[in-house]
This record gives sequence, structure tokens and C-alpha cells, in this order.
Amino acid sequence: MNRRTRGILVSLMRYVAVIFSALVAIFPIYWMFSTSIKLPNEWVATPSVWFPSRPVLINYQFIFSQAYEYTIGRRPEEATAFYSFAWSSMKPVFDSLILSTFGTLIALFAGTLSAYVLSRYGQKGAPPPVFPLMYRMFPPVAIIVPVVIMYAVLKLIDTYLGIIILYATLTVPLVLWLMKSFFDEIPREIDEAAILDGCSLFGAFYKGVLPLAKAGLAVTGLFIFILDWSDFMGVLLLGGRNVVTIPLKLAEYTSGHGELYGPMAAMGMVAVIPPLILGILIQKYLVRGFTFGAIKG
Amino acid sequence: MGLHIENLRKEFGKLVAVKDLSLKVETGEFVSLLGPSGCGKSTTLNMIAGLLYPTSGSIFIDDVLVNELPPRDRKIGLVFQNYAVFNHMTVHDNLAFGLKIRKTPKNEIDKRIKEVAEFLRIGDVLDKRAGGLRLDQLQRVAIGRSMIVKPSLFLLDEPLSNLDAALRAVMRVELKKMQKELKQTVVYVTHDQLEAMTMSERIAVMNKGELQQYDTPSVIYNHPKNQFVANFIGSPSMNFIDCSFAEKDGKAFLDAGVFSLDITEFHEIVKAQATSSELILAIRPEDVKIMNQPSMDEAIETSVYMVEPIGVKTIVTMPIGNRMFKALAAGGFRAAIGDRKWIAFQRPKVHIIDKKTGSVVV
Repeated sequence: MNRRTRGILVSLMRYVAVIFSALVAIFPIYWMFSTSIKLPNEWVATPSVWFPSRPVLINYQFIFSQAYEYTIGRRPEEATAFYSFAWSSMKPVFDSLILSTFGTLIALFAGTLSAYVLSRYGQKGAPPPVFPLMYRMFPPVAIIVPVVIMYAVLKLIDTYLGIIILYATLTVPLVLWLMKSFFDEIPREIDEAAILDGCSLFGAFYKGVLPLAKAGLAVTGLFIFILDWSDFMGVLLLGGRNVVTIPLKLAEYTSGHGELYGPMAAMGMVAVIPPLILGILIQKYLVRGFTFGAIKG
Repeated sequence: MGLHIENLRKEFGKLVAVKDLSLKVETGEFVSLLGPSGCGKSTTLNMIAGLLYPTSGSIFIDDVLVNELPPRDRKIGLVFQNYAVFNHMTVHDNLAFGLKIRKTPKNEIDKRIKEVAEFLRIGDVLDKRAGGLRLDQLQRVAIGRSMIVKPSLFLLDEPLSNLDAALRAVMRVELKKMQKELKQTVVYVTHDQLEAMTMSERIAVMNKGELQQYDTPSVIYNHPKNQFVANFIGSPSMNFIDCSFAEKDGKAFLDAGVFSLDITEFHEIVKAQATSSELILAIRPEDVKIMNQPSMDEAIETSVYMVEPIGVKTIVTMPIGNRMFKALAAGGFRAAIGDRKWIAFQRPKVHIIDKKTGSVVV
């Protein structure tokens, strides 16, 4: 085997490996998508149905209509009469959007400010502030019980405010740590130059440092948004009636009358969209944000 | 006028970064703060700029006590080592930044940007984002941003150390020319003696937070006050040989073991000023003469250990006693390693240092 053929073989193997790992990553999404367009008898058929025999949209119609209410105990395809779009069916999507957006914004606001302060005015050589991260060390179940009790007393159970506060407080430490490392990378001289030019301390942060940390802010924001977006336990215990998010709605499709895998998959597809759009919007920052620190200047 | 520092002191906990520094910079003067890293020169600069507050002492800029003034009211411009240009803004916005915050009228801002851009030759990149500029352009933008607010005192913190050697030489000349044209008062912090020597009217050599010597480059070079300055200034650095003071038949000698040097002419001075008989003979490499024959009485025999031609000159290293001794010969000097040579000192250039106090006696 000469060097040329060996080179070709090596790159071939490399491609095979890349394609294989891409397939592994994409497969669950494909499975969710294909399930969302399958008829009920193909959802959990044995042997598995890899490609839907007749793609249908009934699962989507189902989740966006009020059909569910009428079809408990029946198969969704039997409820065609009720398949008309109902705004009320969008509630989980809206609720998820509201909670995740405000939770993320508040966490970003508070976390970024504290991160800047810790980065710039923290004692040099002092140990990094692990304290704010500490309650992330507990399994969430461990802290949720006292939170439920507190919320009951504060009358925050099943309110938007209550869950937004929960999301914000749970994610602030992560924002703090991520943003601190971004701020640490930005030279102090930027602040000093702004101060010399007459900025206030806040002005130096807002006009000088923050624009340079935009990439970090975008990545952190996306990360936190996805965390909030996929929260289940928080809304399960603190919401339910007035506040219903997508993960909670998903759980409803598992009932005593069987598991509605098709609608679940359809709802899953819907749930993918907002983070995906957000990711595309901030795409130009993503690569820079993920590689921040690796490359300087 | 200019800058006047009195007993300036800065402590960080137990560490004394700047020890009772007093310094006067006249209007239009170019002064360098020179010293190894950690000598307190940047700390001093930051205190002048107002980014650090002194523990004690006072700073006057144009006869105004600025100790309590915020940076923007001190009429200073500061250029940082890493430029601290706002990468996310265009060059134009970078230049306008300080003026906008000071609420300068729009037409005045445009006028000044035009002036500065022309002066620094960055007119063609005004609309580009600063992030994409070459290093020397970035450097000019950084200077421009400080210049545009017309500071009465210009502070530069190792502004050339990020540039490569060729660019550094160019910017050195340009900076100096700029300073002359504007008759700008400049305090320039550097650890590069070449920059300090070539650009400054006076150099303040600092070490461990203390001012060692404050004088013109030529005085600093030819008449260093103490061993630190003697050692720090000059490349290759000065030769030091431990000696003891000896008197014989009314004559005075420096006894280095392998040779002794007649210093009768300095007898009285040395006797009056030296604190002990332990002295150090110091001489710059270029003041050492290399000879093939012992043609002078005081020639010291040695052999060539290493020859390093650097173009205009050749550095020759030779052992004397148990120490290496460097001499600067002409560029054409050639010798093989191991060649027998004799060296002699150019007498007026010999310095004698008190070993205990480190101060130069002669």
C-alpha cells in the first residue's frame, strides 16, 4: 500500500466516523419527527416502522385542537370532528415562552452584573466564589420541597411570577460563573480607558466591556434558555392549573388510557423550534462564544 | 507647571509598591520611568492617571493638586500597553468616545477627529472597525484617542512592547517627533532602556519602588549613581569585579586577586567615602581595550572564551579570576576561542562602587 492510497483510506475512515457520529446524534430527532407523522398503529409497532407508511398530520392537529379533551379513552383518529384549531391549545407554548424568556432575562441581568463586579472588584487571589454555585450541587428534588412550602406561604404557587423567580434564582449562579470567565478575559485596561475618557464605573461596564462580552452573553443566554425551556419538575410542583408549560403538557399525553406517542412527538417537534430559532439568531456569536478563551485577540 | 510628585507612596497590604517618590517633570519635557518589572513604575503611572489612589503623598498636574480628582478631570491622556481600543467600535467612534462623554459639540468633535487622524495618518481607516486593524494602526488609534482630548499630560504605559522590533523603531521615532511638534509633556513607562535612552530628556530609574536616579540619559549612562543603575543601563551590561582596597607606599590599589589597579588619584575620595575596604570595580564593555601584546603596564592577561559579532561591534567574553568579563571590540574584530589576549581599562571610565552600600564612589 503506498502513501497515496493510505492517505485516501485514512480520510475515508475519517468521513465514515464523522457520518456515523452525525447519524447517532440525528437519529433521536429523526425518530421523533417520523413518529409525529405516523398513524397510531405505527407508533410502537413491532417490528419498528422506520418510515411512516402514510405520513399524516393528525398528531399536530390533535395537539393544536381541543380534540384531546374529547378523545380520552379513544384513539385520536376517531376524533376528526373536533380537529379545529383552538387558541387555548397554544397555552403550553406561550407559557413556556413567557417563563423561559423572563427567567432567562432576569438571570442574565442579575448574573452579568454580579459577574462583572466579581471579575473586576473581587479580591485578587481570593478563592473563586463557589458559594452561589452551592445550591446547584444539591439534587433539585432536595431544595424543591422547602421551595414549595415557601411558595405556599407567599401565595406564589401556580403563578407566572413564582416560576419566573424560581428559574431566575436557579440559573443566576450559572450565569455568574460563565459571564465571570468571559469578563476575566477582557483586559481591565478597557475599563480604565473608558474611565479615563470620563465614563462612570457603570458606563465603563456598559459601553466598554459589555459590547465585547456580547458573544458570551449570547451563548450564556441560549444555555440558560434551554435549561428553563426543558424544566419539568419546577412546573410540575409549582404550576399545573394556571401555568402549563410544554414539558408538563407532554406528561399529560401519558394517561391511564395509554401513551399518546404521536402527539408527544408532535409537541416535541414544536418544542424544538424556539431554541432553534434563538440559536440561528445568535449563530454568529455562537462559535466565538464557545471558543472564547481558546483563542485570544 | 508640568507634573510634580511629592513623597508619593503606595502600599498594597504589607507590600510597599512605591516608596516616597518625588519627581518633577517640566512642561514639554519627555520623562521616562525606567525599571525592571515590579519596580513600581506602572503603579506610579496609575496613580498619576487616577486609576489608583496613593497611600500618601501628593500629585500636582499644572500646579493643581489632583489627588482627589477623578481621572477625567486631571487633563491627562493615557495610552495602555495593550492599547485598550474598543474593538467593537469604528476608529471614528473610538476617537469620538471621550469627546462625546465630555459633551463636546458635534462639529468640534468632527474637526478634532480630522486633525488627529491627519496627524496620526489614520484618515483612511476611520470607518473601519478597530478590531480589524494592524497593530501599528491600533497603536495610533490608542494614541489618537488620548490625544484628542488635548491633555496637558500624556502618559504612556509601555506602548511599544507589543510591536515587533522593526515597527518599534519606527514608532519610537514617530512618537518622539510627535512629542516635539506638540511640545507635549510626556511620562513614559518602559522597561526597555533603549526606548528610555533614545526618547527621553530625563530618565527616572526605579527599583523596588524607589527612585534610584533621575537625570539626563547621558548622565545616567556615564555617571550612574549606584550599582543598580550601573548594571541596569547599558547592553551588554557593565562588568563588576570584587576588589579590596589596599594602600602601599603612599599609593592606593584595588586588589582583585589576579590583578591590581593603581587608584592613587582617587585615594582621598575613596578613603573618605567608602564604608569598608570592600569595593567593586565597574567598567563598561566598550571602555575595555583588547590587546594582542601587553603593551601597557596595567594590561591583564586573559584568554578568549566567546566571540559574538553583532555587526557594528563584537562582544568578546573573557574570564578574569573566576568571573566572566565582557569587552566590546570593533566590528571587524576576529579571534579564536582560547586566544591569549591582554586587556586594559580606559582609566577615566573606571567606576568604583562601595560594595556594602552599592553607591558609586568614583
